[in-house]
Formats: sequence, C-alpha cells, structure tokens
Amino acid sequence: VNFEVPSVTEKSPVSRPKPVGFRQAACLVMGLIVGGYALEWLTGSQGITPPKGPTNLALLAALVIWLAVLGLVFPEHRWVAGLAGIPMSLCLLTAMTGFGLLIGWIPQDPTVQNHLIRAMGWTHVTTSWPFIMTYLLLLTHLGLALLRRGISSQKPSTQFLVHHGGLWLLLACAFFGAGDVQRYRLTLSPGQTAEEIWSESGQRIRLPFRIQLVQFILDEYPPFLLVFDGKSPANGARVMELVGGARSRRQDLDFEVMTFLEHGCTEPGGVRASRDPLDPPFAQIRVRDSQGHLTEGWITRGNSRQPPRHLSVGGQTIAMTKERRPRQYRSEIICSWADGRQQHACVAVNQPVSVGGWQLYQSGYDEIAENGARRSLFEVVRDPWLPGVYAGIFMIFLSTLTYVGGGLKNLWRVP
Amino acid sequence: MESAMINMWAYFPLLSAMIILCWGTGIVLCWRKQRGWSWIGVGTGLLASFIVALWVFLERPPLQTYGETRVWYAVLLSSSGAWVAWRWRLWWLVVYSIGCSALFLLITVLNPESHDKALIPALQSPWFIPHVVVYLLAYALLTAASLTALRGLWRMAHGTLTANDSLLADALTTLGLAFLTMGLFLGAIWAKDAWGHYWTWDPKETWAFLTWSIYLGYVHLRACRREWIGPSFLLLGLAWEILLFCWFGVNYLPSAGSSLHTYLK
Repeated sequence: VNFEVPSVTEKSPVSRPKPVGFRQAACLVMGLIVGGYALEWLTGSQGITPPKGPTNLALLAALVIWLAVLGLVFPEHRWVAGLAGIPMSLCLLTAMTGFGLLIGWIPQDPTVQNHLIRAMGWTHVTTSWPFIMTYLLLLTHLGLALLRRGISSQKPSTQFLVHHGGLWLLLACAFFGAGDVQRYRLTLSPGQTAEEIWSESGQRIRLPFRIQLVQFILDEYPPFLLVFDGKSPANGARVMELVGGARSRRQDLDFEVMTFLEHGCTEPGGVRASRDPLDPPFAQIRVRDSQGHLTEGWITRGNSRQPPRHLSVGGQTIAMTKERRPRQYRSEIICSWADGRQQHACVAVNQPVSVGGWQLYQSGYDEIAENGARRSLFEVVRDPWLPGVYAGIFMIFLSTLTYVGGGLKNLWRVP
Repeated sequence: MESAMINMWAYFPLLSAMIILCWGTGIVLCWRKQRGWSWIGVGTGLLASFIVALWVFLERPPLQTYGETRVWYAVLLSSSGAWVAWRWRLWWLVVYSIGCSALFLLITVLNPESHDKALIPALQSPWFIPHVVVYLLAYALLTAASLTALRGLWRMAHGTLTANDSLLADALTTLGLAFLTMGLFLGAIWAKDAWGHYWTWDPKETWAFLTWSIYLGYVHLRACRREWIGPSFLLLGLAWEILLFCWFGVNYLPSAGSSLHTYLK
C-alpha cells in the first residue's frame, strides 16, 4: 500500500533546519501544564481574574508583536517552525481535550469541598493557570501557523488562512475580552422602573437609562387531560391536550372536550369564563364508557382561588394536569434617558433587545406568582469584544462551506 | 388532529417493523447480487414520510426530544450510508449503517415518550432547525466514517487493507467535521441570542467541544502522519464513543444539573 506523504511547497526548503517534532512539542506542552499547576498551587488555587480594558488590549497588542517578531524575524528557527507545526497542533488539541474532560466531568462550582480538586484548580478550570498558559500557547501556535502559511509559503491557501484566521480571531477576542464582559440581573414587576442592575456576586451598577416594565405577557399551551387510578396522578396517562372539540379514546372510554376556558370561575349552577388571568383553566368533559353511559362535568387543576375538580368514571379519575407549559413569554418595556428620549421595546426569549450598548435578555419569570404581579426576570449584558468574536465565527463558517464542497468532491473521487 | 397524532405514534412500532423488513429484504437482495437498493430506498422513504407527517401533526419541527432526534438520525444515517454504499458498491457499509439505523429505531420503540405538541420558548428560534439538522447530518456521516475505520482495523488484522479504506474514512470525516463545525458555531450564535453568551461551558457545550476536538485531532493526525493508519482508525473509533456520549450520556454526569439544555428529554 502506497500512502502519499503530503508535501508543503515553501521557500528554500533545503536550507531550513528541521522543525522540532512530536516529542519536543509534547514536552513543551507538558512542561507548560506542569508549570501552570505549580503556579496555581503557589498562588492559593484562586485562578486568574481576566484583565479588563485597557490592560487586556495592551496584552493583546503584546501578543501580536510577539507573534510578528517570532514569525517574521525568526521564521527559520526550528522552535518557531515547530511551534507552527501540526505536531504542536495535535499536542495542544490533546491538552485542550484534557481540560475539556475536566470541565465535562467535574462541576465548575467553587464551593466543592474536595481538597485535591480545589487545590488543582479543577473547580475553575477556565481561569486556572495551566489552562490560561495552554490557551496562550494555542494562540501563539495558531498565529505562527497563519504567518508561516500566509507569508512564508509560496502557495498560501485562502481556505486555510480564512479558517484558522477566524479561529484565531474568535479565540483571541473571547480570551482577552472576557474581562470586559458585564452580566447583570434585573427583576421588574409590571409598572416598576429601575436603573440599577445587580451582578451574581452582588455588585451593583447604574445604567445610563431607566427601564420600566409596562406589561409581562405569558402565553401557555393548554393542559392535558389526565386519567389515573384515583390514587397516584404521577402514574396517570395523558390522553390529549384540552382543546375545545378534541376527541380521543383510551381503553374503553371515549373522551370529548366540549368547552375549554383559559380562565374560569364557578358560579351557582356551573362555570363561567373569566377575564381575570389569576383564575384557573376549566374544561367541560364528556366521557362515554363501553356500555354507552355518558358522564359529563367540569374539571380544573385549581389554584389558591379554586379547589381542583375531577370526574370519576368506572374507578378511573379524569383530571387536568397541573404542570404549566409556557408557549412564549415577553416583556413590553420603555427605556428612558435623562434628556427625555424614550425607546419602546418588546423583549422575549430568543429575541434580545439592544439599548444604549447593552443587550437585554428575557431570562425568565416568577413562576410562583399568584397575586397578579408576576415578575419578569432579565439579563443585561455588555460585551464590547462581540464584533470580533462574530467576525471570527463568520470567517470559520465561510471556510467551512468550502470544506463541505471540498469534502463532497473528495468523497466522489474515492475510487 | 390530537387523536390522530397519538394514533400515529401508536403505530410507530408497526411502521418500524415494516421499515426494518424493507431494509432487511434490500440487504439480502444486495447480498445475492440482485436489485435490493430500491427496497432500502422504500424503507428510508417510509421513515422520511413519518417525519414529515409528524412535523405536520405536531405543528412544530420534530427535533425536540431524544426519540425524535433518533428517528432523524436513522433517516440520515441510512440514506447517507446507502448513498455512499451505492456509489462505490460498498455493500458492507449499507449493512452497518442500516443495522445502526434499525438499532436506533428499536431503541425508540422500546422507549416510548410523551410526544406532545408543545415547543418550549427556548427552542422557538430560526437557529433551531439548521443547528439540529446539521448536527444530525454530521453525526450520520461521522458514524459512517467510524464504521469504515472499524472495518479498516478488522481488515488490517487480516492483511486485506487497501488505500481506499483510509481514503473513504478521511473523506467521510472531513465532510462530517465540516457539518459538525457548522452545527457548533450555529449553536454558539443561537446561545448568544437565547442566553446572552455564545459559550458558557455548559455540559452539552463542553462535550460538543470534546467531540469536535477529537475529530479535529484525527484530521491533523492524518495530515502529518499518513502512515499511522492503525492509531488513526482507533482514534476514529474512540471519537464515535465521545459523539454518542455527547448525544445521550451528558445527562448522567454530575455536572448535568447545571445544564441549560434541560429541555432535552
């Protein structure tokens, strides 16, 4: 079997010293990780706080200069060539996979009590010294590979440059921009206004604008019709969604939903529809057994205003599921500035809103609210490095499309 | 419509049996050098029709639960495996890929789920369908690549390995990795829209990264050490284990409690 060894066309290949290989690359990465763990232990296993601007910008500039000096002034040095080589890629990928396994297995929770796990920094892997040092080596490796293929190579591959350039940009912006990412929480009741937001650690900042929650709208899917033995609803069977006119059959029983009210209340002689969102849903059900006997009545899951109502048919209990299933929830807000400007917006899940350089996300709502004042939970985020990250993702995506085309072509060419 | 939906899932075991029968007939006919591809096509077509019908009846993309994604995977794996096998007359690949698809159908039959129409708010996004479909396509191609590698190992042990075995594994991995990369970054963009950050080292994200990095490792290993065929094939086999763990195993990890992907059932 004759396997082709790939050749790289580069300038004056004969005069170049042989780049360092697998063994040296592995030793460098291992040494860096061991040194990182030593530093982690010596610094009390606290990890590193990501630097904020302008320090992070200065560090990024220093990295770029460092890469330019290495890649442009000493491109032929065997260690510089080795740092840009595929053996180094493989060693770094192995190291990052190892860190990924640690993150994947061990909960990243600083309150973990295990002494060894804490001392090794495994409760905060992404801010620990060995991870940071490996990440910086990865950026160095990618940067040098780009310089080598982009400048030194006689036939630079656009696909390679766009793909790896995008990855470098994404990793660099994510890493150096981490210190500038601000994430805060905000909880508002309808009608309430706020201009202060809180971080998870309790830090408070004032926004340059005020946010008022005009209205919180919760749209729910209908509940299910539940049939159980009268003792354990948890083991019951969901027959169908309670939608007016729906029919279904289970075992020897035929079910029909005659009426469904999103909100209802009892009155002498029956149940009537209500406009009050705090009233529970009601459903009028008709059940026919195998002998043709009809049973008809109202069921509800109930709440603090209304007790639950069930139907009993032949030893079976017909009920409404208690679980609530939100279809969509959104908050109508008004943001106002001191100069009188106002911005009306609607924030929903998957539909963030950009206000004055901040992104507002609908992160949840107060699920147990029963008093009508359901509170809306927001996340307020600012990430000035996001354009760089998105540019990197765009470049990777673009080059990946060409890899799909190339992959299909390669697949077709297999004899 | 509701009762029709329930009945449709009630008939899924029968449909699965019919599909597996079609596939089995196709494989036997291929084995006997007769025209069996149309039977395989009919089986896969039936399954694809089921997905379309499910989409219509559920009134949402059937990509929310493990059971639904298993059905998609079975369609994509059987069709991509059959296509590659038909193109290069590799009938062994169709046996493996259809065997794997049949296994996933059986798992779905043996694990009945509550298939309801509700699509939770977090999944109501334009990124939902491209992200999941691209991922499942990548999974199908990478499974075919791993099956090729496992067969390559067997042939190495018996001294019958040819250059085509590694070429096919390389081509399938490159294509699968390209789709995996697209899925990963589509997910990152969606995460930014939904949760405010593109990467949070959520358990699902972490294992998606691990899957990606191990296949990336294979591509780099092949680029610099083409003669290391055995270790490369072993790596592809291991990568498939990681892929399956990322898909199904993450929920059993101690870190799963903090996952944002809690809608996965």
